[in-house]
Amino acid sequence: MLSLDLEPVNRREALRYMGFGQKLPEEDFLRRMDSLEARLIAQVRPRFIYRIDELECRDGCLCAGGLVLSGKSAAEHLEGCSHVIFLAATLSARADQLIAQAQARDMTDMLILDALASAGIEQICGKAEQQIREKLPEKYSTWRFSPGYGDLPLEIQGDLLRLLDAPRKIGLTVTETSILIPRKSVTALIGLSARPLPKRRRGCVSCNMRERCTYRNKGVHCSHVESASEE
Amino acid sequence: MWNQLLKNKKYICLDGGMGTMLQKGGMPAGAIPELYNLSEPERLIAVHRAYIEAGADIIYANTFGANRLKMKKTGRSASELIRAGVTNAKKAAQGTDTLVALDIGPIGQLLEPLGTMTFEEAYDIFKEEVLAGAEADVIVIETMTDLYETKAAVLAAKEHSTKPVLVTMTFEESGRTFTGCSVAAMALTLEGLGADALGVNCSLGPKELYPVVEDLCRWTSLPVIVKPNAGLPDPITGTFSIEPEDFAGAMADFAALGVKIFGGCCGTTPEHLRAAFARLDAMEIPAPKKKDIPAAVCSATCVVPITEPRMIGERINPTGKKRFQQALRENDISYILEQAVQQTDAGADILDVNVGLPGLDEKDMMVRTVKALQSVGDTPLQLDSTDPEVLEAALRVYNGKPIVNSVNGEEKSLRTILPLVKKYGAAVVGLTLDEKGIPQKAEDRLAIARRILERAEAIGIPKRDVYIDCLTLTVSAEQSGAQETLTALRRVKEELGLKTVLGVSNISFGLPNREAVNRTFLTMAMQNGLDLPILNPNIVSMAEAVRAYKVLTGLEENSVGYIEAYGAAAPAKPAPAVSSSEKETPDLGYALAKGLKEDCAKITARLLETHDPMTIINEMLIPALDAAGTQFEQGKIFLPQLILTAGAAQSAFGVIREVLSRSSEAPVSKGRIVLATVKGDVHDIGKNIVRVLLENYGYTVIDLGKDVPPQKVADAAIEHKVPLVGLSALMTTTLDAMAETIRLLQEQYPSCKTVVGGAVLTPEYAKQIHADFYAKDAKNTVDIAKAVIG
Repeated sequence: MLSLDLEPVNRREALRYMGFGQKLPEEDFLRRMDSLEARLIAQVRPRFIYRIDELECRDGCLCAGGLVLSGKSAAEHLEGCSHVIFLAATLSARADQLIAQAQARDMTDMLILDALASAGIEQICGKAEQQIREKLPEKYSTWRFSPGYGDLPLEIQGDLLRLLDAPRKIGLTVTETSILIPRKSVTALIGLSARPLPKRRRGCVSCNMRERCTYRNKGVHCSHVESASEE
Repeated sequence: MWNQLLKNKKYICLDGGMGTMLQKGGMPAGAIPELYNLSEPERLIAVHRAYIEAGADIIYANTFGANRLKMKKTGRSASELIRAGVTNAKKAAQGTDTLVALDIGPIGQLLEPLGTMTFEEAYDIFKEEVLAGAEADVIVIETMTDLYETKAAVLAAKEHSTKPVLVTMTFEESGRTFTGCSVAAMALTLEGLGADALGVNCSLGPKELYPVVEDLCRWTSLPVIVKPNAGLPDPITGTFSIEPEDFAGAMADFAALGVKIFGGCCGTTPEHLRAAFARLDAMEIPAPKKKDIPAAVCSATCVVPITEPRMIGERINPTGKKRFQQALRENDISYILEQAVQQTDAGADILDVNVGLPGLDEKDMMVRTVKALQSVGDTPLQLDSTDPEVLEAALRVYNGKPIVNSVNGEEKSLRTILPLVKKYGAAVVGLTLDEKGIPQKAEDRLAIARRILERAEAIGIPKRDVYIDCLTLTVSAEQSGAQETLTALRRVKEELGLKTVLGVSNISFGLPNREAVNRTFLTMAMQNGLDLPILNPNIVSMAEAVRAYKVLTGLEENSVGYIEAYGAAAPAKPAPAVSSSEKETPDLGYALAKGLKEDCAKITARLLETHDPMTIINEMLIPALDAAGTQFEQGKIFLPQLILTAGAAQSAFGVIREVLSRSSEAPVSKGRIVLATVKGDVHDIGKNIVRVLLENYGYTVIDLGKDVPPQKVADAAIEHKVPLVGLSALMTTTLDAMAETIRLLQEQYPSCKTVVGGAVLTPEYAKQIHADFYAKDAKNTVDIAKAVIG
């Protein structure tokens, strides 16, 4: 288990989660975001855990660490990779508690905290990934691919968490309906290779907001595209 | 056997890591070790024997994860795996004095309010484990991080066995668990529930655990257990670093702190334990000191020691409050939560909760209220009812150590209430009255207090958990009564050494300027030794009196709390609505658009003096909301801004409702709507936004919350005869539950319409599951409600 500090989050990202377009909200709204962000940063205790397993093909199925990674999407994502990093990260139960508390006081605060926390867990995942990659300087890696992306079933969350011993190590659990609790948490697969990997674009299919993206609902795109790998 | 161990042994030895030993023997990562109980018993027996040979007095059967949920996909039942696990351990222990523990670990899912598992379900799962492990000698509950889940396990163990129950939780270096439970909260709650030993295991190495254990030793009089990992694991290899000799040295340090029971968790082996036990044998272990544990109550994350006056907020109580009664009848939990939040923000340290109203199912309401309060805040609660059944139901589901309000000197009360207080480990308010009523003389009240204390102590309730209420009588009815109460209070404090509690607001009944009398009486009472005033913290001068008293008596070092509350440099309250000082008298439209809640309430109150409530609603509030809604639809403002306006409008409606309920006019309601986030789903933000908007437009919303079973939705719809039910789901995995809910509704209540929403929904899918309407956003839901209801 490794802990990380949350830093001020990507403001544009948080605003986007709230549905703001190019037009920024007024000054007093931004000040309100500042004070809520300070509270979030002071109180959450982000943590992550990971392990690296060799990818193998068993009976035509892609496997790693005893876990079957079924479907086309995972295979495509991990093409050319020899190993996979299983990553789980959480902003901690405190984030959920703060959002729930805000709900009884002020719905606007709740919305803002929720968006800030969504941006926050993305930041933590990014940092976690960076830390792991620094330990593997000779490897090339893919971006983070999560259960539920493409046709990789959400239902593998439970087995993935067990493989990582995540409930015990970082307090991350999953419901019968495959929802991660604490809510501001992410699990992901990152492919590793000794050779450079082709750059792939991240589309909506691999965005954590894909199910409640206000842009996507309107049929447009947030034009938020990350490149595959820094290398 | 356990008692003999405790008495005869200088210290008690537990075993070390089981998983570690199995992995050394080749068990792959991600495997389910409990399956070995049936498939490879010899391997387990060998590990048990190794620990027995190392000196363990108690070995843990390999049953840690053997619960119904975790074993679901294994093809084996939890019970058969537990029975096999205990049998294996018994075989290993045959011919020795070693005891076998049934090992109960976390269920693996988080309980409400964070997760979806209910307290009752968790209890049931643990009960099954306890019954299956009947052959074990002791019960161990370990590696817990959620106090609520731990409470469910301890209750299940205590109610379905007579075995000793040892409990260890897992802490981080911060001294809290993953869910925020502190060491003190754990000790207060679990010692109260009747655990036989308490301690820590896993997560950290012995060095990191030292301050945590030090803290625990301060908060419990029970034997303390330490079962650490062999240091911190290497993040890449997962291996542990501490050698047996260093481990032994650390254990010796724990012994010096007063720890009695020692073992090892992840990464520890028989060698670690052998070294530790040798070291402990060689040292002199200090005899346990008598401890002075402070009187305190707590929630899982907030401990309130009664070492200085603490305010108990009295506002969650329907007595004499029409608006509150209306909220109870309408199942309006959010109104109750508002009362809680206001009082907490005003400085209440503890909240009294009374939801008794004739004609209402008080037990059901109490349980729901306690659970709802726990989901939005962590202020400890005082459970207030005259009905023992209601109290017991509340005590079961409360997460922490609450206060019971109240017991009194009547035989019947003593006989029914005190055993509940003991069983659930609560503190209790003792009223100084009995069959003959309230004695006039202080002396007689003192005598009742003494009797209550004796009876409490006789069944094992510690003296520090009895808080005496000497009862405030109305001074206008009998002027000497005030002095008598104060004298009784002082004598209870001085002669019995008990904490005292007193409702102060009654004193001024029938007098003008009640606030002055209340405040003065409060100050006098504190000077006479009052620890727990029950008051309305929203009245500024009352909270001020308590804070000022702490400054003047030196109870609050450097006046920290006082300055924090009133100092100019006080940090702004969390995200305050910006005041409109630049505009002298802002109009309602401006205040609404800017989301100025307080201004909205003030302006509305003023408008009510000259305007009819319906005029304000229809000609001012609704047009402003419509305008915001239109701007939202046009993309000129965004959801948070729409909600700002809706929130401000809510405060205006609050004022109007308050006034209407006082004048007993029928409340303005356009009709009722049931809202729910479907079974299995915990994302309720969207649903909550819909609720606020619907309420703004005058609909009465029966909000069933999140993770709501289909039948519960149907039942509520039928009970309240609603024409419209709104359902939300955010995950593809919970859409089935939505379809099922609609199916049930159409079968049992065909005239009811349904509207569905949530990010994963599409108009096509809505049609496919036979929903009547699909709402693309919260505003759209209001339009649909208008179309259906009018």
